[in-house]
Amino acid sequence: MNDGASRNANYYDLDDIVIEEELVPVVFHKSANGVKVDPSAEKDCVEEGAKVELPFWLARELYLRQAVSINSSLFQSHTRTRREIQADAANVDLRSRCSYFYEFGCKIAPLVGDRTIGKMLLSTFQMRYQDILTKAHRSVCNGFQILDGFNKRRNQLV
Amino acid sequence: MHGRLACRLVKEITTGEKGQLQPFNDELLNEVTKECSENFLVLQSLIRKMQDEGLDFQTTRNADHYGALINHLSLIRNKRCLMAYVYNRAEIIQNLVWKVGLRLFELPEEIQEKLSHSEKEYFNRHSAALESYMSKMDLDLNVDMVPPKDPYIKVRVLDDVGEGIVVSDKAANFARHSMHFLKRTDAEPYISRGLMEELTG
Repeated sequence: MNDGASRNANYYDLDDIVIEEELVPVVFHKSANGVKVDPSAEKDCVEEGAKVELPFWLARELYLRQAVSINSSLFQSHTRTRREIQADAANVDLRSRCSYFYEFGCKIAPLVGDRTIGKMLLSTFQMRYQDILTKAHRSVCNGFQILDGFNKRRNQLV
Repeated sequence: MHGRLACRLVKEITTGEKGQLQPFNDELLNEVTKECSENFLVLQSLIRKMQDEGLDFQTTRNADHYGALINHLSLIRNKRCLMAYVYNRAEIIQNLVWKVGLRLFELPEEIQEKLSHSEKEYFNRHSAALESYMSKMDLDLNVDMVPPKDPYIKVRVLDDVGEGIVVSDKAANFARHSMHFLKRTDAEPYISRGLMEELTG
């Protein structure tokens, strides 16, 4: 899903743009001049080794050029969320963590090389979907559409 | 941070109700284009600096290269946000032409106020193109968006439509709250403007 074609396909997609604004903690392996990404820096530049939060659209491109690596602090908060989800996915407030939980998960997965993210997303969705179904039988029709969309995304991941 | 303003511009559409226009945000749009020009100036100066130092900017990977790269990526990102903003608004406007009316003055005032100058022009040109096509084909394309079951419908007049309006060769008195049995094609323009409502059942 990380090829140019699929990226161009939703070029005008507003949700896709907002998803890619999500911040990712990164460590710079190279320094860069004339940029305003490090709020702690005195001048408009980033030093090598600086830990900065970058929006996903920038983090991905720099990661692909080996200029940054994804900071492990992402995994720490990730592990915490994951434990909560494993305990009871239906009762985790995903919206407060990331308003595009599944979509962003699909985007970040190829970058961090963690194969379990896809499985985690799917099991989270299954548990929550089941919960929605038992809570509201009438929303079954809409639910299936969501499931379809989700399965498509999951297939892109695997 | 690079690109933050542009994303705010995009979020303005996503937070609104689907298909509803927000007022055209000139101010924010100008700020984003200003950020683009800044990105471009920094990009140029960094490349010039590398050239002055006698470095090949295609292959050198120094701090200036990555600075230029980040500015370049920000430019592309900002461009995408701006394009998406204008494009998605244009889609809504196009829908207005089809669903509400072919003339700008037929639109409710609240909507007209939300359009920028060039968006009004887009509206006019789109409706002119649609109109010329329809007159060539001798076909009203913007009626019956939902296939009708019956050519005649029952309507109630909700507002003062005005007197002396002729529909299908006969004059009718469309007083407020009066009910009529009309051809669907005659009634549809009034319904879409909220002057009449269809009575069902």
